[in-house]
Amino acid sequence: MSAPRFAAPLSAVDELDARSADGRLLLSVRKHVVADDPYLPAHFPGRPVYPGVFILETVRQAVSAALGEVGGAVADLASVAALRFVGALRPGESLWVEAAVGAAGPDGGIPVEARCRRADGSDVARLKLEFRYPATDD
Amino acid sequence: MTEHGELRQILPHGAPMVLLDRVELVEPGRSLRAVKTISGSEPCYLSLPAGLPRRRWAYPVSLLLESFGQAAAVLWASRAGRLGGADTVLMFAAARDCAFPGQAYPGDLVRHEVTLEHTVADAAFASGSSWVGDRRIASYGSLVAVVRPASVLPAMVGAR
Repeated sequence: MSAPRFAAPLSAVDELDARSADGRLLLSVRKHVVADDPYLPAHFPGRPVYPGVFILETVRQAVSAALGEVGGAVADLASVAALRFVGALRPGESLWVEAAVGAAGPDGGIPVEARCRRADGSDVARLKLEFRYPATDD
Repeated sequence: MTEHGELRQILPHGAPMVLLDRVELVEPGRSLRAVKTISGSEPCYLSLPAGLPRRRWAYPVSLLLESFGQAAAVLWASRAGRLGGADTVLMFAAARDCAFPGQAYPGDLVRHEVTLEHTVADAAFASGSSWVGDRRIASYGSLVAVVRPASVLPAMVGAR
């Protein structure tokens, strides 16, 4: 996937597949963690681990790409209802994300639930989020 | 007041992942005020094409959350000592009820106000908010950080 056209710590999505089902958008996302990803040598020196907040960033970039631009604006993360990181990924491993993007509510909030795993299926993270298009892209 | 060089000793992160510039005020183990300057020369802006609309230059929420989490870790360290050493790892474990109603842009000074809610042996629970001037750009209901022995994370031991 091409680099995001908004400020981001790294290009956090390698593959993105989106399909519609039951009024929701279902995303399958892969990010391969490499040792020279931006910031990674600093997290932590001598012991690189894909930061938990970069898992959040992977979901953010996948959702914003899948929803697309509306009037020149991109959807961004507006709130975190809950997130939990239970595993760590090191360089050479892939992050696999399954995310469900619901329909926008009356206030414009777009609910997203994501489950993140390693290639072997073990859990890495679960996230319950809300996205939103900015009122104006000034 | 804790200056940047000292923060780099307290936090296990290296540059440019140390996302705090200075701690202005700390009541050890209870509350803390820290600041981070947003700069257009940070890695998160390097590959962004010139001329995009202003909103695209908003500091990424992921890094804002990390920056606040680091402020919470420094507050925890003010009570527990250095966090994460050769045989331990500091991990961001969970968050709940966080909202990001505003944005920070290059040139802004972000101020984190952190309260340490409670700690157990190897975990700390913090809450708080982030501000640009008198504008609240984020609120954090609960963040949980843990320190784990590196040995419980075999996938990470010896990773280079």
